[in-house]
Amino acid sequence: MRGNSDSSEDMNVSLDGAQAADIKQWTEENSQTTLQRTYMNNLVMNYLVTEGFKEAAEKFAVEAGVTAPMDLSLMDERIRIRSAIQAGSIQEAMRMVTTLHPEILDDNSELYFHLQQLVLLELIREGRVEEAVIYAQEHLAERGASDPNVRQQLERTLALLAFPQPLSSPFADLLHPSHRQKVASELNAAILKAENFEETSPLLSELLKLLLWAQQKLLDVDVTFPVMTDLVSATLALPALPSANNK
Amino acid sequence: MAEGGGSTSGSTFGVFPYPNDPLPLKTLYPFVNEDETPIPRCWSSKDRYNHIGLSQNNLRVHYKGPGKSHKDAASVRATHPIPAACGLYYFEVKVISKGRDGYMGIGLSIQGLSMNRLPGWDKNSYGYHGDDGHSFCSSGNGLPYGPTFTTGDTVGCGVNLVDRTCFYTLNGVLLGTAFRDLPKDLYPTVGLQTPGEVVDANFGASGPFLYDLRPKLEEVRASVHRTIIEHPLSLPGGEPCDQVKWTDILNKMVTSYLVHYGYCSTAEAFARASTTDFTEEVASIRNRQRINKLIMCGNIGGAIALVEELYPKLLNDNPNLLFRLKVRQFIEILRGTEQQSHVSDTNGATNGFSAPPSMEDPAPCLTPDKVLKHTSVIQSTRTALQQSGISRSSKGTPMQAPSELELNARNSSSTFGGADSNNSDGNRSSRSPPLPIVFSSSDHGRPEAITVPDEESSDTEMDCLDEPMPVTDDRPAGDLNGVSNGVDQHPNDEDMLVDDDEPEVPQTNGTCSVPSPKSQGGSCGSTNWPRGSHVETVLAFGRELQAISEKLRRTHGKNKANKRMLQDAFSLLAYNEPCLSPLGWQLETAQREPVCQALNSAILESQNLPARPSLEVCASHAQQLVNLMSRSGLGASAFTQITSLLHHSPKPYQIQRCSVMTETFPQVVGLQAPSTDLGEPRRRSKRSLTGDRFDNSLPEPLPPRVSSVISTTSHVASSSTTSSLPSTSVSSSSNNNNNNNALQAASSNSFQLLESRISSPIGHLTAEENSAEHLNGNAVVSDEEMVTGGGDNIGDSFTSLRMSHFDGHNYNEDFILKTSSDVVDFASPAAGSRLPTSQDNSLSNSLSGRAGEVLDDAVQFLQSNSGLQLWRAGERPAAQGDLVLPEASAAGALPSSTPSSSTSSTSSSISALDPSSSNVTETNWQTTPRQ
Repeated sequence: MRGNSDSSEDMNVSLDGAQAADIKQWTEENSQTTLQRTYMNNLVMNYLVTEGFKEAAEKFAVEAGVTAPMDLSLMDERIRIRSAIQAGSIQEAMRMVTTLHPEILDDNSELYFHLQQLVLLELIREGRVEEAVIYAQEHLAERGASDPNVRQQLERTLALLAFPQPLSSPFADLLHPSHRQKVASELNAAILKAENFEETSPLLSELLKLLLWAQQKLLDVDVTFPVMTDLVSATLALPALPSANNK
Repeated sequence: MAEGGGSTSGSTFGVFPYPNDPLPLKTLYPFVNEDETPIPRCWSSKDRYNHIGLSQNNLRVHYKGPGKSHKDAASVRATHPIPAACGLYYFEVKVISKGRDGYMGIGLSIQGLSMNRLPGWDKNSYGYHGDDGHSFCSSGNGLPYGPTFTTGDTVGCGVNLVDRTCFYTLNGVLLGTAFRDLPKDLYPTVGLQTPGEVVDANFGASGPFLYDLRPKLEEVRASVHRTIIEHPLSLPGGEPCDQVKWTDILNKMVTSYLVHYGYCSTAEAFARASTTDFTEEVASIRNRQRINKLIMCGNIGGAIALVEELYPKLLNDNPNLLFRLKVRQFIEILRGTEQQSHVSDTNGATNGFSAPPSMEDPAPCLTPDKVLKHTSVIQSTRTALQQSGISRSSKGTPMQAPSELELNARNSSSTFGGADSNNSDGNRSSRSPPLPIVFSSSDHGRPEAITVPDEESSDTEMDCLDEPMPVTDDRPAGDLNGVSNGVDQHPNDEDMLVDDDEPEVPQTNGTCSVPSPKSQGGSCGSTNWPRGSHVETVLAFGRELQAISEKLRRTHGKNKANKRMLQDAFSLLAYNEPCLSPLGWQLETAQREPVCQALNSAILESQNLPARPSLEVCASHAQQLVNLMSRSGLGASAFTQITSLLHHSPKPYQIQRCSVMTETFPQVVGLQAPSTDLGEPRRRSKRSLTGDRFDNSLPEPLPPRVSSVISTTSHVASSSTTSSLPSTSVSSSSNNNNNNNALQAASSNSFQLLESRISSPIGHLTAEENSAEHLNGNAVVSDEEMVTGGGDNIGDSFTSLRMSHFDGHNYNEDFILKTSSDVVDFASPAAGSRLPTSQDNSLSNSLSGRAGEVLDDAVQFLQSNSGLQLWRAGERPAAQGDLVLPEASAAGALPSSTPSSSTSSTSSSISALDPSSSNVTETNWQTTPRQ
């Protein structure tokens, strides 16, 4: 019943008539499925707004004639919070969130933990070991005791303290900027949700994920088709002829 | 016996598909392309055992064998296997009588198995049996599964094509998963074994299911969505990418998109904020932006001039592109957007029609003075016309006038909003002449319209949508909304011919937002017909176009696309209300977009930049993948929600976009196909797709007329709209594609049509009290008033050349254009009524002097260039039939009609609904005299 049991789905799929001929044909078809610009613009606007590019969103509204899906002034706080997190000012960001939408951290215990974990990570990054330990004991120990998932994360985090060079430890991923960014996105989504915005992650991202997923699905059942091997340049290649790049 | 458990208790009454849904299968399985994989609709009269009898459109199954033992078992399969693209398939079987023993099996099987068996007994056969309630999975031994079932019970069988499982329901109650790992291409199957057993099937078209499928659909959708979201971010062959890289990819794609389309200041702001770079120089982007803007405003001549100036070689190297631009220019001239002064005024070069100021002033900053100067020729003509007492509305076609009135009643102060912003645009941002010349007229009574301050500001890159509102007019909310969609609403276009005394239709371009079904004309703006000197202009330009076309053919060989483009464009001349004609899509402002893109791409390619932004390629690629998935039997394709991603409209404005239509009335999309299909290379290729409703819907918004009809009268209205074309192929029920074909056939034969003397409501319609009729009536009155002033001016003569006009008193019989072979005429869709031949005056009688010459010119032009044959009134062959297709009135009548709930045959329901369409298939029709 669950929709995602991949293996069963892929059974018995034969390929009659399903073989996409070649890149040329595919590309031709691709260009014929041109989307109306309005829709593309909406996608882009959605991206700008959800990701907090306020100025660009404003300009885009004028330049492309796309109506912003929300009051753009609402974006300010969200942007500030997000950049605070990306800059490592986690506690500052948490204060702002609490002012803006007090319920968010209460309602999203996982998000709350991730933020606290980030605080801890920043302390570790800065080598403030004692403070880090104290913070962990005061804020996180209790939850770690009750929630095995939290405990595991906490252990991973504190393990960083054991390494003289945390950045070269097995847990260095936690200190990577992308970890901040991930939490920032999570928080961003929570704020958007609290503000009743319909999408909490950019549709563009979903569309491209759909693309990746669909390609994989098709490859899994051995359908031959021009595979997109690079999104930024929109490069297509037939799997059989790996280097036959064709724009 | 049977009805244990949930059989009677707690059944939720399903309301899905909705009882009056005319195309329930399309609602249930929107992604299935029935051309490739038909959905089962009934039992197969061939694929059954002898002991099975079928009746009631092959939906009822009864047992007629001896029924002595299991060797007398007999089953029947549905006509087609279940298409994978259904995603979640479901059918129900109601037990009418359990007969002697009630040995009934309901389930699935692949083709080729013995029919002398009950479903479930053999490999690749699955069944749920009524006598013991067991499920049989490719085996003679069943497993306990659900309650037994008997007379009066309804058993539902559902196939989840995502995970390939099967579940049953009994009397609307879900029983749980019965089978897993199902093979593909299963057929709904039912088996009976003892005398008297009778069951009825509902394959979705016989009314709502007892079981409400929607929660299940939602469940599957959510789970597919989750899988997609959680799919690792990696490209084939590439390494997995983390959030940072992913964000970087997205940023780059967005940047290149912005740059590609010349959203220059956005690109700069975005690049700053996201620390992404772009390579093209800002100046170059701006240039492209200017060109694009000119095209999107309908000023093709200006755009061509600018291209020549900035990229001198480009158009030389792309003669086909130039031709395409020219054809668009022709259309713009026709629709009155682009004004030509005199053909002979401008230079005789290939680009003779580019707007003079640009030509004069290559490094241009246009001053309002120039605008005025440029305007004057036309304006004086207009003034003369007005003085001669013919202030005929440029928009006063029967269908349109009321809509204006109504719209204006709502938005009374909206009048010149669109044009103003255009005007200001012209002044501020473009280096070429703004075209809404009308507003510069001093007899206009609104001089402020032209005195828009020249905001040569830092914002040069902003375009027409800047909404500076330099004029004091209130812009109605609707208008502002309309502007939210960039492409469609570059304001301007409409109004070149708007007369002072005629309120202007507010900008409703291209959006579907106008709620009134009467406002059909909205998006075509002043689609009335050119008149006066304009006629000459149009014709002269047309001649030039023809010449270019011939030259192209000589030097570059035949080009079907070009030929067709030209034909389609010329054909517009033949219609009275071209925007309502099958070729009216050409007049939509949205049609500028492809031209604009083609030019933009050519410029970029000439600079070794990609012709399309990767974002767009990816979006199309994703769409292609989903289609490929459904062709490859991957049921998950039905739940990807790609449509809502690709057709995303932010909520507050959702109502106005046709994506909503698409979602809500999927079957309607077929209607728009002809409009999108014909001229553009985006014609849907056969292999392109399941879920082709989305395909069709991708490129364009619905033609406004259609959409407004839809928005009020929904499916049935549109179905009958379809049916009113003179094609019999509408008959295949609820099949979009057939409808498309019908329309396509009709529109491609547009030369056949055309005898469209639109006028007052008449003939068989007269008796009907419907809104459309009132519309016509109103229009006629107002128009007659206007016409009485003088019948013989050039404008009017052309109007009637245009085959129509409600001024029945002056020239009733116009021309009849038809192909030699086909006798089918049909009225321009909107009008739907015709004038009596008996009252016809000869057209030429009512014309005099120059008007007659222009007319002759026009006739000649049409004949020589479009292969049309024209008859003068009276020369018309008497025996010919006139097919009148009162589409508008059909639509008007619809709200009161009862939609047919049985949709097994759409065509029949259509003819029932549309009193006139029953005539559609008759080739010979008597002329209906006016009352």
